[in-house]
Amino acid sequence: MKRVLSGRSVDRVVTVATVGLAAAVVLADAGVPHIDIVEPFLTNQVLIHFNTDANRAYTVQRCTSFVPSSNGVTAVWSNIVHVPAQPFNDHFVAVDTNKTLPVRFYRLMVTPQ
Amino acid sequence: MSRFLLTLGLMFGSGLAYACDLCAVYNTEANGGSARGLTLSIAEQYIPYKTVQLNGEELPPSILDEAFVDSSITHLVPTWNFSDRFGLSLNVPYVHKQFFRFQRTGTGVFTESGTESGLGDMSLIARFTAFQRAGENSSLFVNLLGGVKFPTGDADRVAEEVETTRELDSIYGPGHQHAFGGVHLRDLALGSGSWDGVFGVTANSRWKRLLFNAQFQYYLRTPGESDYEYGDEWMLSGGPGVYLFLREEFSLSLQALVVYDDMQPDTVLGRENLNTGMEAFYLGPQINLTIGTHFSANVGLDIPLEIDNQRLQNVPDWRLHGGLSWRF
Repeated sequence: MKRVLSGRSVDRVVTVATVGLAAAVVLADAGVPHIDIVEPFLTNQVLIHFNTDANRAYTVQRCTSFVPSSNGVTAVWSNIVHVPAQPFNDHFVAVDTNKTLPVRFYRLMVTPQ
Repeated sequence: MSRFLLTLGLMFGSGLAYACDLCAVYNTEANGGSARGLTLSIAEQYIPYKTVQLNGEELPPSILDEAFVDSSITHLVPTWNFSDRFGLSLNVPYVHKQFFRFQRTGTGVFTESGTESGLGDMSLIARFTAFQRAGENSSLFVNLLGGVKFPTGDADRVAEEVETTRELDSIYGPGHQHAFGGVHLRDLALGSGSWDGVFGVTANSRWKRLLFNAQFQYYLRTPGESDYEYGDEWMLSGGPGVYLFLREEFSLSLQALVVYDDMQPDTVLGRENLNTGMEAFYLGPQINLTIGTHFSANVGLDIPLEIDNQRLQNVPDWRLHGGLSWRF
């Protein structure tokens, strides 16, 4: 499992941050699993769009803050959506239904890498 | 003997018993088609849907293989024959479905297992024998069938299908493939909630010990529960056979049957339901039995030769069908 921030998606972080939300992205490598879009949905909910490759399971995780620590940055991530592996490519949209968080960071975890 | 042959001719035009309303009626015609009075028949179709296909291709092993539906439909069919040409059948199906499935939602993929059981959609079918000729060495019968299927079965699962589609449309946008796995909510419904038309033509012929049957069926679907509309369906089936025994008190025949089944896609929220619609060819044996002029039975197995389904669906592994009929 690789957890690498994607520079390509920073634009989206900025965009989404304007509505009080933020997205972090996990990529196995460039062009492979990543969050496509993070967008507001209904009242204070969030949609997280991502493509899924065949035979890979995906988990969308959320973090509400990063805290500086002796190891660098510490964060607590919680799973919000898990997508089991399918034998074909697909597109998935996860809904973060938590309506109270002012700021959120997301990452996408994939197994196997 | 001629009366026996007349009965037999009508009978084995009625031997098919697939998962359809008319097939159950064919079964009940078996021993009573040529005589006035009551005939009671019971027909069963058992179909395991364990094979998941994407656009007609079987998928490699995956978690999706865990999803299945085992479908059993038992039809009780009382028939009243007003004459040798005209009869009326009431088809009362009892449906039992055992399943395990996945459901995509905005907050993940969930699993669901259980059973759905109960009364299915009843239908009333009329038969008119348009042509009949029976001799010692040959016979030919042509029947016309038509009727109505009533919305007597529980269609709650159809309502769920519509509601889930509406919710996922709001997330994905209309037209996206929402399925996760090949078993869908509409597959679990006991009824459609719709009034449908049922039409059919059967032709049954015999020459000495050889026989050939052909059936055409058409199901005209209308919008039902939550305006969901199952796709129209038509079937063409038939094949040659031979009487292994042919006596007045006992007959036994063996047939090879080819079935073509075309199910059009369903309509949900005014557009095509992407994971529905299927074209299938089956081939299999059928055994038909009569004892005297009161009792008949048949059993057959349909083995898929090719199933071309749209998008992601579980398709039949095989279809087992059979029936017993008694003319009072």
